[in-house]
Amino acid sequence: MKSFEYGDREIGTTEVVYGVSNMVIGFGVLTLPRSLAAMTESSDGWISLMIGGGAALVFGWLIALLCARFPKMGLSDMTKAVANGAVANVVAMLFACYTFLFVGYETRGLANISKLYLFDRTPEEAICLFFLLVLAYGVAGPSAALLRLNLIFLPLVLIIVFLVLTMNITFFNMHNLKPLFVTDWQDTLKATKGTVFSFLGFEIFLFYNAWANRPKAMKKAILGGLAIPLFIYLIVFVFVIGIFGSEVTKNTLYPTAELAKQVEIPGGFFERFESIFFTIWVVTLFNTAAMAFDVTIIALRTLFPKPKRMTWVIWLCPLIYLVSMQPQSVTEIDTFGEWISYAGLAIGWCLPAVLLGVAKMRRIKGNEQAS
Amino acid sequence: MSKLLRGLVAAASLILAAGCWDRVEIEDRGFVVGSAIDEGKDGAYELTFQYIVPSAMQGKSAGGGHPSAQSFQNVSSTAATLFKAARKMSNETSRPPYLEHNKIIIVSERLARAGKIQEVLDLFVRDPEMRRAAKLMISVGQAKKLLEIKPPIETLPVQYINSTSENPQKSESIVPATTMGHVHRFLLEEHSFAIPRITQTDSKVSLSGAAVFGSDKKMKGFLDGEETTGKNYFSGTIKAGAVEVEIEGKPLLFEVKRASRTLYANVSDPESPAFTVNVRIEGNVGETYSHVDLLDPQVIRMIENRVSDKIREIMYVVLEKLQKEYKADAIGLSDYLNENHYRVWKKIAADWDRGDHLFSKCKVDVKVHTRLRIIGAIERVQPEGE
Repeated sequence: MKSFEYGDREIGTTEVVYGVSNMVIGFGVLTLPRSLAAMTESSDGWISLMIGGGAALVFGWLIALLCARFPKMGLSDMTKAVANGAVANVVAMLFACYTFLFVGYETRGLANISKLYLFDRTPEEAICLFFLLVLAYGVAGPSAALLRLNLIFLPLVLIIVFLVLTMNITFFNMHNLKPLFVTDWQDTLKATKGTVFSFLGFEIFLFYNAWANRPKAMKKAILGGLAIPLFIYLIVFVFVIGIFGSEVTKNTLYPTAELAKQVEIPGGFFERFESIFFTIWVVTLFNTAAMAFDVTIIALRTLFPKPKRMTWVIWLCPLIYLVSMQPQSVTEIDTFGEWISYAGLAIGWCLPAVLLGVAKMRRIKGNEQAS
Repeated sequence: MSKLLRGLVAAASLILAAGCWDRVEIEDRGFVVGSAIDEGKDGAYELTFQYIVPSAMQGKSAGGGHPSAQSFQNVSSTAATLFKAARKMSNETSRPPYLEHNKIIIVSERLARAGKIQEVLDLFVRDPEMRRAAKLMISVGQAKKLLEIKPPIETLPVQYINSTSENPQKSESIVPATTMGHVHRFLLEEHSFAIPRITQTDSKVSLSGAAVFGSDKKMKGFLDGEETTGKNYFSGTIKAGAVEVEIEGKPLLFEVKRASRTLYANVSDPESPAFTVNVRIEGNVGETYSHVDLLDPQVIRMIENRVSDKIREIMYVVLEKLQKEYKADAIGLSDYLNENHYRVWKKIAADWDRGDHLFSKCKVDVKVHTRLRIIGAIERVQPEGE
C-alpha cells in the first residue's frame, strides 16, 4: 500500500513544472494578443513574444541556480545567508506586499471578466467576495497540497485551450498573418515589455524551494514550466491574428475569449462553448491567486512566526478585498496590473539575480547535505 | 450544543450561499433568432426582432400542439439608439429579448447608403451577449418585410434565409456569408467590401447579388447576380458555377467544378500598380444542345476558349463597375498589396480607393485558363449528323 506517498510535505519536480506553468498562465492569454497586436504590425508580435520568453527563461535559469545553490531554503533564508537578517526581513516584506497586491489584482481581474461574459447582473463586489472565500479555503491547507492541485488543473486548461483552437481552425486564414517582418525593431522591443510581464509569477518558487525535494532538478523544472506558457502564448497569438486579423485583435478587449465565443458546434447543446471555457479559466485563475496568497502568508510567517496560518488568512482576506475594490474601471485595473508587474520585475526577478551575483562573489553556498 | 450549532451553520450556508444571481429560467427568455434594422423617423432606428414561439415549434415537429399557430413573432420598436429600441421591446413582449442565438442581421439599403452601417454594428459587436458569427445582409427596400416571409419548407423565416445564405457551394452569384466579425474588420481596416444582398420576390427571398461598400463605410450600390459572379472569380471565392456559352449557335453549359485565382502585381511604379489576375478553371460539360463531337480535342479546345472568354468578359464588366462607378476595391487587390508589397502599400494606402483613387486608375489584366476534364457520361443524345 502506498497510501502515505503524499503524506510528506515535499514537492517533486513535476509539481514545480506544473506549478510554474499554471502560475504564469493567468490573464496573459486573454489580454496579451491585444496588447501585442496594438504595438506591432501584422503578425510580428511573435518576435516580441520570443524575446520576452527568452528574457523570462534567462531569469528563470538564474532563479533556478539560486534555488539549487541553497537547497531546502526559502528566499528569506537565502537572503539571510548571503546578507543578514535585517535585509532578509525587508526582502520578505517586499515580496509579501507584491504577492498580496497580486492576489488583489487577480481577484479583481477575474471578477471583471466574469461580469462581462458570464454574470450580467451579479455585482463585481459579490463575485470578488465569493472568489475570496474559495481562495481562503484553498490556502487554509498546506502549501504542498495547493501545488499538487496544479497537477489536475493544468491539463484541463491545456485541453480547453487546444479545443478552442482546433474548433476555430476553419476560420483560420493564412493571409491574415502576412506581411511578415514589417515592424521596426523599436516597436518590437517596446512590445516586449508586455510579453515579459505576462511571464511573471514563477518567482514564487523561491519560497517553495524550501519544500523542493530535488534542488538539482530545479533548473530543468522551472525552464520546462516556462516553456509551456511560452508555447501556449505563441500558438494563441498566431491563431488570434490568423482568425481575427491584426486590426480586430487590436480593438477587442479579450480576443481569446472572443475566440471561444465564436466556436459553433452543430447540435445546439455546445453552442455556448465559452461557458465551459470560462469555467476552466476561473479554475486556473484560482490556482494562480491561491499560490500567490499562499506565498504572502509564507513570507509573512518568516517575519512574524507566532500567529497561526488561519489567523493570517482571516486577517488578510478583508485587506485583499479592499485592495481588489480600489480600481474603478477597466483602465484602472490595467494600470494597477502594470504597476504590480513592475514591482514583480524588480522584486521577483532582478533582486534574486543580484542575490545570486553576491552569493557567487562571496562564495556562499547553502547546506549541501540537505539535497 | 456547539456541535449542533456548527451543523446548523453549515446547513444554513449550504442552502443560502448556493444560488445564482443571474438565473433566468429558460421559459422567461425571449429567444431572438434574427433582427432587421430600418430607418425610422428623424434619424431614429426601427429595430425588429424575430422571436421564436416555442410551443408552436414543438407542434410542428411532433405533430401535436397547435399546428395552426405561427412559430414566430416579429416585434418592432423605434428609438434613437438600437439599445434603447431593444429595451422598449420589453414593454411589449412577455419575454425580454435574449440575443445569444441571433443568427441574422438585415440592414436596410437606405441605412447602408447613408453610411450608418458602423453605428448599427456597434451594439452587435460590443455587447458580449451577441455573437460575432451573426450574418449581416443588406436588404433591397425594407428590412423587416423579409422577416415576415412564410417559408413553406423551414419553420422560421430566419432559418430559411440562413440556410439559403449557405448555398455558395451550388451557386456562384452569392457572396460568401459575411459575419459581424468580418464587417468589424472591414470597418477597422478602412477597407472596401461586399456583403450579401437580400431581395424579396413574393413569398421568396433571393440572396444572389451583393452590396458594395466603399472605404468611407457608405454603401455605393448593388452588384447583380452576374456581376457578383465576376466579383467571386476575382476574390477566388467561387466554389461552383455554371457558364453558358454558344457552340455553333446552340447553347452549351459548362459546369465549373474547381476554380482558383492567383494574383500578381507589378509595383515598379507605386502610383499605378499593374495587376495580373490568373484564374484557373476546371470543370465539365453539364448540358449541350449542339451537335459537335465532344471527343474531338479541337472541339474541347474551342469550348475551353469560349468559356475563358466568357468568364473574362464577366470579370471585366464587374471590374469596370467597381473601378469607375463605385470606386471601391471589393475584389481584394489592396489585400494583395498589403500582404506582398507592404512598403509600397503603406505609401499609397491613403489614396487607394479614396483621395486620388489610384484603384480606379490601375491596370488589371485578367487571364483565364479553362480545362475541360469530363464531358459527362454520354457523348450525345441524338444521332450524329442529324
